[in-house]
Amino acid sequence: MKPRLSAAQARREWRLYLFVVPSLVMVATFAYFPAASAIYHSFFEWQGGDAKQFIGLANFQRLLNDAVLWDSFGTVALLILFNLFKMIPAILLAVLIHRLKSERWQYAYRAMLVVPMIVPHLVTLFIWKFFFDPNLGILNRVLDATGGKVLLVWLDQNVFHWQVFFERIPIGWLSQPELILPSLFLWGFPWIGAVGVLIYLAGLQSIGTEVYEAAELDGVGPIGKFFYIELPLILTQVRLNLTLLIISTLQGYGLQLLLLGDAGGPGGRGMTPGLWMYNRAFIAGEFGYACAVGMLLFTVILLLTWINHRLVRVEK
Amino acid sequence: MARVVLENLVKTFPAAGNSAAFTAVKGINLTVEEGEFMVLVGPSGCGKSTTLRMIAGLEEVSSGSIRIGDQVVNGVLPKDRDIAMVFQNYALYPHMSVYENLAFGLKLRRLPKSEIAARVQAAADLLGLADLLERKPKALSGGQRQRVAVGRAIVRRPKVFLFDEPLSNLDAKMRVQMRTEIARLHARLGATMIYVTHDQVEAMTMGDRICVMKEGQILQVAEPLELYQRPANLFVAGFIGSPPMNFLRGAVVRSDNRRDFVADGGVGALRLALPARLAEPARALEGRAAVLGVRPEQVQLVAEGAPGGHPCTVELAEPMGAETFLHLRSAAGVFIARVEAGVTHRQGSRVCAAFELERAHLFDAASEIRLT
Amino acid sequence: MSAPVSTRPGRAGRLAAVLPHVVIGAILLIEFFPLYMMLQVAFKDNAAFIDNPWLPAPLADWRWENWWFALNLIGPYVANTVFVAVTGTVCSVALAVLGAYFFARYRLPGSGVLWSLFMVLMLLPGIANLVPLFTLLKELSLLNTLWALIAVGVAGGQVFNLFVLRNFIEDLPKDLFEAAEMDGAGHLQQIRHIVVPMSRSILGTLAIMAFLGKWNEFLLPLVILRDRELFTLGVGLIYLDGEYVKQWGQIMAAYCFAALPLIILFLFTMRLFVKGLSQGAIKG
Repeated sequence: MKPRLSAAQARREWRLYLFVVPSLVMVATFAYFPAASAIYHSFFEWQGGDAKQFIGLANFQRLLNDAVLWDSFGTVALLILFNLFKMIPAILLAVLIHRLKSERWQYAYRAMLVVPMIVPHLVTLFIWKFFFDPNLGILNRVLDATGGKVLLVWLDQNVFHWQVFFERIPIGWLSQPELILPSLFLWGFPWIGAVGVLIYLAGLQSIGTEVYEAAELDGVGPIGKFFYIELPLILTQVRLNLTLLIISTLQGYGLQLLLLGDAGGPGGRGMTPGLWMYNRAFIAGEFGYACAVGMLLFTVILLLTWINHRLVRVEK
Repeated sequence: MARVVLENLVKTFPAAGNSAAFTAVKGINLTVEEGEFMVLVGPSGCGKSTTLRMIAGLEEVSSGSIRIGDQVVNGVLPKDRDIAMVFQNYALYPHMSVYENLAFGLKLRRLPKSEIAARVQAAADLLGLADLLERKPKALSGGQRQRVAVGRAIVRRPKVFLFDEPLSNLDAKMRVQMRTEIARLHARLGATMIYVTHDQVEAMTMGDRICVMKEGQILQVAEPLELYQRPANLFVAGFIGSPPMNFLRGAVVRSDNRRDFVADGGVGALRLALPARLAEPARALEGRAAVLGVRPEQVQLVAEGAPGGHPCTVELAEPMGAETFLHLRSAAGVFIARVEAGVTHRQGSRVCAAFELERAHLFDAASEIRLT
Repeated sequence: MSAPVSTRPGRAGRLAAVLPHVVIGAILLIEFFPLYMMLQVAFKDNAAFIDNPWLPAPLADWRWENWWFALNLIGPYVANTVFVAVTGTVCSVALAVLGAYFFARYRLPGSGVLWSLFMVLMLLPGIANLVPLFTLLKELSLLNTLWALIAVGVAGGQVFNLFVLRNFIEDLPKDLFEAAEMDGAGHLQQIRHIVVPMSRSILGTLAIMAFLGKWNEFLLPLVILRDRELFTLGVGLIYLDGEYVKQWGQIMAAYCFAALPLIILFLFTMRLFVKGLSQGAIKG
């Protein structure tokens, strides 16, 4: 346990407080103040300038009837589901690498996983956007070359009647409203985040060889090992990632903004609450209303965090 | 070099979380003379380490005072007290080489480079570290790390050396070797040293004087042999010496013109006539519970029927090589005898033991204080 | 009888040993694919790219001028971003070390309250802040400056860094600090001689994560930067993407330049980063 300093000692060591002041000032200015300001301004009609008018709860009343906003919550719920699914490959890959017997290979793969991180996110994003390009994009070329396109068209015409895929028209992944959500699902295939894999691997490393040997003697198969030994050990990390993922998806809008534009793409199919807030503030100039949208999001996230804490505590 | 004087020293840890406030040191007085090797010994939680850390300045004094030399150092920062400390886990800086570890304190005190080099070299020679100066602590054995930790204290040439259980992480053989090395070092430097340990063997072999502590209080301060031969109370008597002193519980009974010690155990219990040395002070104990303390070497095996002989069964024999410890059971309970190794005693065999009462001690069972 | 029985598991065993490598290799190939496309397309003009999108062009046809063009185009953005990311990372980690030392070493009156002040921010979603942040920066006359990005970046990463570093410093042996104290080290010296050298891999990992975060940032720059000379990569690349007729070769070469500082960073710190993350530097 670390020493608790008495008041007298603290007075003598008052300079220690200076150590924390810079962090505190930064956080107070650039995190606390804007948060407080957002709460305050959500009660105002405000274009971002000096002029503002107190309108009470009007912004919040408008929220209730904002069809775009409520649709966007539906979209984001779907995106969260996508992202939860996209967590699986990283876990499986970590387990796969962990089960390799050779330490050298393990290290080599870990290092190789990190290499693609040198590509800036934005570049990755634009390259993916380029993959989705109807005429030049890799995706359509692959589908053309492998006959996947023919299959999709056949399925469309004879089975599902989507009215989306046509023989002579290139597939507009990001321009056809129906395809926006599927495109967002495909985005980032095979959905491996290097940092996530490394963190899972760190968790897996705490399993001793004896545990595996004991499991082997007990006749536990490879799938059993995953569920009884490996998954429980990285559950903390998985849960943490899950929480962060839900929160970041819920408030995220960078991807949609760049891929689809500030209106959420054709038909607004890619509109998320965050993007709507951005749109209201910086496109429509309704800063007060944007703050109210932010407040709503904030409340939802706080609620989710609280539920998460409750659940975690119950399990402990 | 300097005297260290503790006056009414108290340390109270304030209540924290769900633990109540706790007084670790309860107003102790102790003077460590200039150049003395003082050992603070006691079971864990007796306040010895807290006392040492207060002298070092790592722990705030709740009340009372600490003087080093002529100066009261209560409010003085550790670095300004002119003391050095050897930690239990060595506390070597893992990222620095041995040389850097030794030189660190001097560098911070802005000594000239040549002076630092000279002092480090001298300490390294003294401790046999000269060939290891470039190594990192990780590449050293336990004993070598211990020497570096000691060396780090030496180079500073402090007024007082503090040792906080420095040998407890070493294996038994290394511990014995380092024990003599530190003792030799003290002889050579002649510096004031305060040494904390829970090991009474270390205390006995190293200390000029030993201060036995229990539950935040000092029970006795004395030279090793004095402590062994004239322990102030039951605790000290039991703590110092291995195997420990045998305690026989019983009462002092007057019979005719002498006093007997009658051990508990009912009919046929051990009854010992107290010699004059014990009989006189035992007067105060008459009719009260008493404890007779007899060191294992004061228990002799005698021929059956010999005067003072007391029949016992051998419960366990521990041959130590030069001698054997016999655990004997009698009507008065179990006690240990230190006997010559020559004769083998089988478990369960019957022997006769006699107590050499001239050197035994009588304690008041209630106050635990020695009467003789 | 025994021969086929013994060989069959052998072959299956060999297959079982190779299969994971095949799977991992395939995944890695896909992961590396954008990198590959970026590099090979950067040497082509649009015609060559449409002709042959998959394979690298023959060496004779390599369009080196793409690179020259891209460098002129994106060089200034890269320079701006390096400035923002390096300054921001150094400040962020330095402040976090100081703050974490304060929380990890002692329990001072009020430190519990201060700590919760920071930790509450972990729960606060950053989203609601963008709009007021924009107006705050306007008030502070920081709009259209790189300093705004640095300041906001430092503040944003502070809580996470403090959290990780505090846990780490608390796990360092207390003896070391006490020994340093006895050796005469003040608090700043203890930080310099004990904390920093002993937490090198964690500091490195945090620094890399901070640097990557700042390197990849585009929302805030997009909102607050107006002058082309001040553009960071985030805005620069977005504007590049907005061009109507795209010269893919030039764009890809520009992307390569955007990645170059990260390549250099990882060349020197890869070991540290992999080690830091694998040691569970970021605990649950």
